[in-house]
Amino acid sequence: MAQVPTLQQAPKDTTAAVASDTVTVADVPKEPAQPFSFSFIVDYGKPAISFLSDETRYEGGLNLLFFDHYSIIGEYGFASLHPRNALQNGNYYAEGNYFRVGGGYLNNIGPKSKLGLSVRYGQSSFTDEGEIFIESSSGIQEGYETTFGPRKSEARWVEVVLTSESRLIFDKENPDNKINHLFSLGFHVRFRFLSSYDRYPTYDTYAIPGYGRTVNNPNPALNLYLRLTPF
Amino acid sequence: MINRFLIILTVWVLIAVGCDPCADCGEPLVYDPTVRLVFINQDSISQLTDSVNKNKDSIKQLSTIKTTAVDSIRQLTDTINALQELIDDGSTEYQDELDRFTLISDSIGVVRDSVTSYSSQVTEINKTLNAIITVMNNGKVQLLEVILQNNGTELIYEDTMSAFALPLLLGTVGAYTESNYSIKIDQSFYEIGIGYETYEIINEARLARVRARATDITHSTFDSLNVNCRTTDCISDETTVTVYF
Repeated sequence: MAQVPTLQQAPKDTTAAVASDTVTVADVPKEPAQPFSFSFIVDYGKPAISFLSDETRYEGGLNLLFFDHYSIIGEYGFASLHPRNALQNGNYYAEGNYFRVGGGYLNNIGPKSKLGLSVRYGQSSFTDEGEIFIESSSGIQEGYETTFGPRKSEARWVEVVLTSESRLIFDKENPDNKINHLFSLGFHVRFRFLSSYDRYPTYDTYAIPGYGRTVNNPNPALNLYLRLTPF
Repeated sequence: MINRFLIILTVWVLIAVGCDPCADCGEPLVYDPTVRLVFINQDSISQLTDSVNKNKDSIKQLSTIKTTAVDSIRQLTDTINALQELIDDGSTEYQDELDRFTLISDSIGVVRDSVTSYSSQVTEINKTLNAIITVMNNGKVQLLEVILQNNGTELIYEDTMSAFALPLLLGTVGAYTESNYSIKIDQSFYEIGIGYETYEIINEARLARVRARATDITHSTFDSLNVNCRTTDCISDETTVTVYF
């Protein structure tokens, strides 16, 4: 009974008002942190670019999330690259498989969105080859054509990845429906630091599946993905 | 929010693909390694230089003659003045002598004027000759016929120029190769052989070429020549050979 007159006497006391708000939020039942969840990631940007060019790329991943925040990531992909800037008067091809493993931290931003930071180690095994065309400007000789490769190579790199994703809500009337927790759309912003790769004289390795062009170091990238969280 | 981001991203990806700067990539590069040749007509230059030097000697001699003439005129003028004083004093018998000396003085005056005129004319001729020598030193010539002897290909250079880029055969890339040329200037034929080793190189613009290094002249029928390399590798396109004929 003694508390009631105190509140009535100081209705404009901000400290008391904040205290009151805090109590209200604490009253809403918070979803308990899941000790473990498992999700698949499919990169849908790479097939889209493959559709627009003569390159082929696809990539998928597995993600283990502990206590809603701590993730362990494994990714695997294939790329058949034909970077047109590699040789102005020729063609360069690189093809191979790669994987990345790493871990990071994922933070919830609001009820639907997440923002994360992770570090990954990447390794690629690939073959590259190319061809060169030169025509004689004076006409004193036949044109010159030469090839190099195929060369079997390996490359290793480290990535720092910023991740942002949002859950897709299909059934707005029932927020707790299972379908609303299955799919998320997001993107990775990657900064890739090449640590080592097989080098060659004259026509050096130009593109590495999973890493990109060796002339860029660090090499930034943006990937779009769809996440499926079945469990 | 994320859907809007994806739409914007897709539009930008399509624009980037549409504006691909490498539309011509994969096309052959049109290129031959070359060596720059500069021709100097040394024989003609030597003849002209001789003429210039002879003219200089003439100018010097003319100058001496002029000095002598001027001295003689001065002495004759003194004599004439002395005779004139005697005549004025009444010694009219010297009148014939005075007339003779006056005639001699006038004659020497004509010689002096002629020598002055010749001297300035020869000086003008030397100026013209020196200008011609400068032009010839720049090496502007016309090559009437250029034949690559290795395969008989004839190259056409229509303009009179100071430098000519002679293309080199690639041969077996990585091995020693020679390109031998036969060149016709005026009515004379000359031969020059260029030896080198070809190699492949790619530049920052990702253009692959075959160039030549260790460029040297194996033989030549020119009077003399001088090979000027920019680096110790003596790479084609950077090497200038000055030939004197």
